[in-house]
Amino acid sequence: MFTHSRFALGILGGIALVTSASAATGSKPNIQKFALPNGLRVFVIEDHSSKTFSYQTWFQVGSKDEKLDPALNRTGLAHLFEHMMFRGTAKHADGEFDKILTQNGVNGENATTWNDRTNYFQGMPSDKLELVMELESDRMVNLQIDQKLLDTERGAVLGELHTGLDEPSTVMSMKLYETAFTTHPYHFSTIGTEAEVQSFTKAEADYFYKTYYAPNNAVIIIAGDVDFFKLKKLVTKYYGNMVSQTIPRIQPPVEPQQTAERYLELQHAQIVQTKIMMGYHSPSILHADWPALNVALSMLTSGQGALLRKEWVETNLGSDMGGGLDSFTDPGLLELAVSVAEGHTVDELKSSLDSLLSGMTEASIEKEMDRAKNLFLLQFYQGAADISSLAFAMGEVMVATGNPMDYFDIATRVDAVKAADVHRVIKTYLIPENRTMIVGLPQAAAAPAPTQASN
Amino acid sequence: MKLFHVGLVASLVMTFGGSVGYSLEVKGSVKQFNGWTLVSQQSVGDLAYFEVVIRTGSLSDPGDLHGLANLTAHALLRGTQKYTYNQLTQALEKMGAQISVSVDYNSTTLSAVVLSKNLDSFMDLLSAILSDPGFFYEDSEVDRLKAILTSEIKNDTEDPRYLAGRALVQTMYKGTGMEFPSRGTVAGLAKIKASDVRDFFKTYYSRQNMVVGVNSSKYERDITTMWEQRFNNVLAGVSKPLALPASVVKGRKAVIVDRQNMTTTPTYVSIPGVGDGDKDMLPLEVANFVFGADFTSRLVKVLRADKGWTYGAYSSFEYLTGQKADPGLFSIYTFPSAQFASLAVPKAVELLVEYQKNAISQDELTYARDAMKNSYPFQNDTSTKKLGLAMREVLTGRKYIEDSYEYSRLLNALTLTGINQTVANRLNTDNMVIAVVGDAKVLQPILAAIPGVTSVEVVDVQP
Repeated sequence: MFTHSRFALGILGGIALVTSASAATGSKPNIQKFALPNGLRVFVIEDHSSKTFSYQTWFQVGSKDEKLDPALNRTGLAHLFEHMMFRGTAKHADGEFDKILTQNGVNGENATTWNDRTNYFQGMPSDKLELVMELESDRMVNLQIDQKLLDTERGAVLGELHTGLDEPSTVMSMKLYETAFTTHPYHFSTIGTEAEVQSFTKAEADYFYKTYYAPNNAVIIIAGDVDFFKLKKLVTKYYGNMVSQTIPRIQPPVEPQQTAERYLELQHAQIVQTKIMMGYHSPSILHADWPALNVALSMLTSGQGALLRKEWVETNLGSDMGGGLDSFTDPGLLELAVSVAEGHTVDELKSSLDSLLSGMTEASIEKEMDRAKNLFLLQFYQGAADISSLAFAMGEVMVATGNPMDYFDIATRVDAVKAADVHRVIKTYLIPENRTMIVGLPQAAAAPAPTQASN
Repeated sequence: MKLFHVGLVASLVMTFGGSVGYSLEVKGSVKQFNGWTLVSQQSVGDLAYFEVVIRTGSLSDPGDLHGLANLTAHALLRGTQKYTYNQLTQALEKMGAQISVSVDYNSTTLSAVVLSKNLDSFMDLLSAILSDPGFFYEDSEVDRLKAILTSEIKNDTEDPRYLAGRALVQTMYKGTGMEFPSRGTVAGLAKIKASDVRDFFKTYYSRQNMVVGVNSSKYERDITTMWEQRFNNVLAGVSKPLALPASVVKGRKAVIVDRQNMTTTPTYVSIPGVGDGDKDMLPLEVANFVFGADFTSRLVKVLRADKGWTYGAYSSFEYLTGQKADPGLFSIYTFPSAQFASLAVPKAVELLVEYQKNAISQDELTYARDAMKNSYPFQNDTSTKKLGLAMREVLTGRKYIEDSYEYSRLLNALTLTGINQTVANRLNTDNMVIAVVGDAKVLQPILAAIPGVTSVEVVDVQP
């Protein structure tokens, strides 16, 4: 599968809340780490409160990288290949991987592919650690890419692609990144196009596997009821003989600064009410402004008291309002989305947003900031409320910063945000000329042809 | 039994020390007093969880006021006698609480989480919400809420899976209250007045008609005392359990929601189901693990892994009607690429019919039994899961098995013959509805050719 499970901490529904901002000074769980000579890094979070553990393997390759690699120069293979990882090795035939894990009690087994990474994960009962390690290490180096199975899996991927195309929000999100990024490969959808998925060859899949699925391009995060020293021995046993590879590390082109608002209308057969999805170019997770943008986003979209809820939903201008902030390796987007209520227009909502943002830069916002920080922290901690979620969150941060431990600094960084920081980031980033707007229209009401205004 | 997820959060941010997750044995109790049914569980952690289930849902919507149950539930959060909507929101935020409501056909659930340290003050607020809601004093919030919900309901019909599911349920339950969506209709909401909300509340929101669940760090007896002291103002009345109607379809029917430009064909195939607390549910679950509950099940194997027709294909007793004491539906959901609909939809039906006839093999039983035993620790490894299981026992009669050995014992007691007889006896594929979303002209002949299908109808799903 591919996913859009970006680090969207700003989206909250219902009346939400919690935890004092000072909570950010709390302690970290017991985390240990080590690396093998071949470059494989391992992070272990021991937690014996449940007789289970989560095992996650993160490869630092995603759709961005395949686009940058001159041997490939397209997207969709990283995701299609992720599917192939479940389809058999020399030792374990097609289907056995899932069957063995299932019979042994797997929970939440899956994989996802995104711009900067691909991950594989499963929860297992405590006594199955060696079994998982044997299976995961086997498919890291012994996968057999069979042409027939590749073609079959191609069909499943096309089914996944088609499912997304039937969903207005997925199509609008694709168009948002396609329009907002003109140069950087975040322009391209992770799942690729139908033509790309149809055309990938076995040779390309072999190249991708040999090039990117190497121990020095992987990080394993294990959280739960495990013993660190036993685990370390097992990792050495199963992964120690793997050979590191030369990983192409091609820097993507820097996205030029946007200087005028971009606007795209599209029609979609399933849209009932006009929808707006907008994105503001935003810095990457390690940038000093990223925490303040998170606070601004939380002020705008989190909880029943969210400013945009008051501005849009409570006034019946719109519904289903939400937002998110990317935490990619490279600069991403801060996104806002809303459905336009019948009888109202896109311009009305846009004007009210711009007025609200303008007012926020002049007003005293400390009280609202406290609310927003608390909401951010609540969601931050709830997002890591079990071992699997914690490992996942750490992995996502690891991809962006190189160090999963940076995850624990986010709360502290957000806690340190001052009103002046929020004022600054609103003036710097949340301005029309930095914005891309995608408007989804019901098919009958749409203009004859999509129009696009671009700088 | 170990608890963990609350403790993990605590270790990150709050007052706990550096180690992750503490646990206590959770032995929930069910107490009945002063008309209340209270499920209480103790666990260590910094969050407390509440579930208040009111035995009313859209089946209680009177006449054509479709959406009254949903509107009433949401109106609870729009203020109290003492607090306006904004004040209530601020008060909740200040104490670190989150409340949400949901409504289905025969139940309404108010779910809440709060910092344990603010449990007392939160319970005061919850009591006011349940006993003295603002709509008794101010009509305007109801009108505002109607507009918000109307817009949300319109958006429901943008989801192709929702369209397929709604088409199926309105066909399977034609002429009953389930013909209408549980969130209501735009037309129904438009007709509702604030006085209707007040009347609905007075009729159904009595303590006798609620089941309450609390998972917190307090002793169970303390929770009981706190509840007794704070919730005296909630209405007294009578319990009014609301049964799901029986499905009305005889024979095999197919319905199409006509949508152009679809690249997939979302498909439900449903037959009458079995109640969650039914004695046969465990063998049926084991068999369904083989048939369609898991990624390694038959449906995925055939429709995805072997054929590549669809990204997913699963079956469940919970799709469309939820976990209920009454029999709901047993359903397959799949969404093949439109180009494969002519192959995948008939094949899904064929697999279901074959499953009902021949069920599973001994090897499949061994596999499913091992898988279910081994994955048992994941069934109740968090506070919310434990609370959910305890509430389920009260609401549907499904026994909450705390002990993995007991679970294994029950699974071991099942025989292949017994399971297969249960599948044959309890599932009936003669009465079936197939609901798809896509181009009606293309899909009509595909559905008409499925064995046993006597009618193919194009239906509309209105918001």
